[in-house]
Amino acid sequence: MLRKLRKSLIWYVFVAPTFILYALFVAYPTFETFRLSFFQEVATRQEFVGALHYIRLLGNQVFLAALLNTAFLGIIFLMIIVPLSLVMASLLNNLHVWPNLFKAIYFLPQITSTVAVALVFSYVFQPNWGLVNNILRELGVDPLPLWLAEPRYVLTGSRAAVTILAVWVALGYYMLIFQAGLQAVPSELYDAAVVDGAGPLQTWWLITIPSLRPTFIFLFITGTIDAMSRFSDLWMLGGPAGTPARSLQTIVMYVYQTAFESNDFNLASAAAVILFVAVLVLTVVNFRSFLGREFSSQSGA
Amino acid sequence: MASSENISQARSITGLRGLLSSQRNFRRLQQIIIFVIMLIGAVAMIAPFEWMLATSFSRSANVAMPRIPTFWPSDPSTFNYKVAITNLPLARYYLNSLIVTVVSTLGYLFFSSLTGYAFAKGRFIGKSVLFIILLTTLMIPFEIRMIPMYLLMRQLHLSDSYAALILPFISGGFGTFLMRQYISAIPDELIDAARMDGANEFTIYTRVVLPLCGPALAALTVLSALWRWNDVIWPLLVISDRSLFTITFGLAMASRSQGIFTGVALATSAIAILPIMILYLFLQRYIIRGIMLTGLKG
Amino acid sequence: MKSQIRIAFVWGVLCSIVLASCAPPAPVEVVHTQVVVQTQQVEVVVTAAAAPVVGEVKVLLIGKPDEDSIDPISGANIPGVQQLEGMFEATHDGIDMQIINIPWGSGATGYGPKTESMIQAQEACVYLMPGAFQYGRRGYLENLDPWIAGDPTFKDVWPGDYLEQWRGWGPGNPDNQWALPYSGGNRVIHYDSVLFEQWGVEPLNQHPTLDEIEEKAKAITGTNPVTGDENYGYWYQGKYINWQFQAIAHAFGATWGTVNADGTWTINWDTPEYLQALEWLVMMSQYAPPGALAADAMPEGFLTDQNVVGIIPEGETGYYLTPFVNDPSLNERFRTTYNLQGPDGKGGLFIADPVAMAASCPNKEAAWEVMKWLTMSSESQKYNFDSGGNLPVIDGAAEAIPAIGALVDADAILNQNAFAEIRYPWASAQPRFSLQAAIEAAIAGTLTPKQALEQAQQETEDWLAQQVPTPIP
Repeated sequence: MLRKLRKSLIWYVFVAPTFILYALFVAYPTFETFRLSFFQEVATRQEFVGALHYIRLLGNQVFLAALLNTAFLGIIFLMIIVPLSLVMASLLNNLHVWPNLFKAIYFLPQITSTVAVALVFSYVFQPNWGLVNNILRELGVDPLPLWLAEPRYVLTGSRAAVTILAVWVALGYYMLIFQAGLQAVPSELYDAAVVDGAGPLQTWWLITIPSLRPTFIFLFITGTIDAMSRFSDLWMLGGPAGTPARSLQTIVMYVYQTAFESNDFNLASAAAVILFVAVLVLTVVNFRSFLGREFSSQSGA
Repeated sequence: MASSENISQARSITGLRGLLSSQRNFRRLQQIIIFVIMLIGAVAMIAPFEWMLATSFSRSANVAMPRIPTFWPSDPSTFNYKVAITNLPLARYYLNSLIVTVVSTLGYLFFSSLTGYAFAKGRFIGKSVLFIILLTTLMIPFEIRMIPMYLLMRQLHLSDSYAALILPFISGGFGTFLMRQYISAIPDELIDAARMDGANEFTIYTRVVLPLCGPALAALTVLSALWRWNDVIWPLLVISDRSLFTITFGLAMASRSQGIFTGVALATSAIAILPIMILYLFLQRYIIRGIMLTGLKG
Repeated sequence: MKSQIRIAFVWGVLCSIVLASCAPPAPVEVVHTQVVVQTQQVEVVVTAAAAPVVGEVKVLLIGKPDEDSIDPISGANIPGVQQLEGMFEATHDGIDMQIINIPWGSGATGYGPKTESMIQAQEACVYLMPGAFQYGRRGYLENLDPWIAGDPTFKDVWPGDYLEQWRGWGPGNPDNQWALPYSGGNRVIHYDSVLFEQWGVEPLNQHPTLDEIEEKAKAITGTNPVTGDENYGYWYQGKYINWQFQAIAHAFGATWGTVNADGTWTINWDTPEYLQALEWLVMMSQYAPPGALAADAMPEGFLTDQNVVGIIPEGETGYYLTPFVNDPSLNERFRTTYNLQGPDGKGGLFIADPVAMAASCPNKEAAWEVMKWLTMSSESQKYNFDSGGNLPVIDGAAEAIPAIGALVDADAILNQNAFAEIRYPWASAQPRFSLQAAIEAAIAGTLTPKQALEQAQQETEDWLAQQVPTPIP
């Protein structure tokens, strides 16, 4: 036993640093977020208050609006980016002229910092002289859309502007992941389709898309987590309050504002815990719905 | 690519020889259509950057903007760049970004591969439990932990230091997981042979394992570098000393202060973006391959 | 075994390398190579002069340029903060003034938390401190009354009740002088006299009323009869609309509430006066350029020939003062009036950031000299103007910077602050953010003005309910 432990020792040395850092920066803060969410600072002391902050949050219109807004922006984003990037990736896969050049160009926004991109887009969407409205004006559009000055749920409002921004940034990445998926589709499947006399669109619909299921699962799960923790671009464009009229506020922005502008770390921690639960639930739901579909399609076939 | 070729082959084989020439025309037309669609997308990708450059080189951009879209500066001048460089210590910001990115990436590579090696090839009590614990990192987004991390940094008196920007990121569940997967695929015989030769585990790690991990390490380098270079929320919490701003954070702070001027803001963005873009042009094959390998982005 | 020790050793080395490279950089403080020599004054003054004050004084300033920099509009030079140190030390031989300059910022890395940690760590003696009342309440500040009483060279150089604005409650003494006014700014109303002329509209009065602004803004909106440009009568900075709204509301007779005896606040947004004001603002927003809701500055083309907006309220010192002084002809086209005024004759944001002395300061004599120089000297006031377009707060501002006194509208520019409303204690707290979001919603039309104010009131009360009386250490 002792000998075995001694032999193991070297491996513990190898994993020790990672676990020390894990304890400091993952385990402890996660635990502490939960703990703080059940306490309240009273005259520099922390007093246990049970679920008080959760009750406050669930009756708090600002928080609920931020939660809904995060979900709304995330769903719209995924509903646009996934089909769009799939089509673009499939097209690019069939292009023989400069495919790598296009790949590199589409990926460009990904290596650029969100901060710089959001800054540039705050001017691109400027209603009076921004790039987008200048082009629309040349095309004779009147009245010009207000973009970041329009908090309503309209196709040319602030939510639309940030969705266009997010799609613009993410398109290259999603295309790349789809291309990786496309290249992994076994060519025998296509040969079989050809023998059956299927046209290109049929092949795409019946062979390609079903074969990409792992890619879809991956993109939906990572996309959901990214969407739930969205912060930088919206913070650049709308500040921590997500102006105008909180139309761009997300949960993380709410956490940030509550903790660091209103100095209520306890309430902010409770909001962070709700974010954590939401991420967890969504991941599980995503997994199950996709796996469920997999099972039903298997039993159907 | 495969599908369309096979299909056209199939069509010609099934006896429609008369249509062969129109088939070729069809394929050419198809290529042109795809090309045009891709080109439109590419223009949309580049236009904002081009417009940023054009505007940043316009002397009057700080007071008044042209009312028609310009992709060439209306009154060319490097004034905005002069203002940006003079008013913000951009060289210092760049240096900070470099220090933070390089040190945390080196740490990330070293610790991820070392721990990954232990989990892939080591035999020790509690291995699978420890590994599962580590994997939980993947499910706990940084944003959930940020408040206690901020308070911890303050308690440790690490706010406003390079340590605050680097330490939390020199190891991670994802990197360890990736390296473990990669190293697991290395045949045991190679490692056993080295052991027979009397090499200790650290030597095996440096001499045998690491040299075989090129692609995985490259991918992790890309990811870690992009994460660190572009991070803004963590510096926002722990850095208030301007001499420690990274270029990304410095740009964010400058543009969020009231009364930033369009031309200067865009010139600053260009300074922050362009060197990375140029680097990307040279490294894009590796970067894209790395992203495809891991499926994760910056 | 041996190998394991070696690994552990390699580990240790690696860790220490990593840690060493993480060590914080050399502190930003000025390294003082200059030896402080107590000069033997040859020309000994016969009167019983106190011994010369010596020592080092650390000063926290906010938002000054770290280095010499360039004005983004004119290209003029802006002096870096080290020049302020130089100016002070040129006239105060024994005192070594060390400025710690931080950005305004907001949130976790804003000046607030930084000030808090510095005062707790007793890092500086003199603070530029917008929140001086709160720190005074908590016992962190020196009451300046004895210093003022004991110093024959001290003079109340400020107009009106500027100095009295900074008296407040503290532990053991209900009435303290917590700070001295240092750096100023104001909010005025601009109008483009060229557009007014082209539309045949009479210029604004020195003290414009709501009705006058409404009527003239309406008259100037539309296609310009001379240039054919699309003109707009009115302007608002969407992202900071709260300040303009407060001025309007006060002109309608609204007051925000009160500070209670225990330091908490009572705030009333949902009143008939605020409602009238919000309805008025929403109505006026139709005369402003589209997209003003997303604006965080003056309208595009302001201070140029391309300006298309007639009346521009909430003109900020930082935007207009330096350009006016650099090119006084601008003030002939872009005229300036006082802000709106309520029934009490007051109106507009009061902006004068003060300096305060930490109670923990080990070298109060020297710190007092620094404070006096920063607040009272015309050099320091001029530096404030040169470095950030701040308005001098002292009475003799026109003498400190004659170029301001020479402007066409010098009267309104220099005296607006004497008419300003008393400072809002909630200026950077949740009630402001709640109201700001509500006004945005009302202007955008997602809420009616009534609903918007109800929402702001609700949120504010929820927040106030969580506030406890400030603990007194």
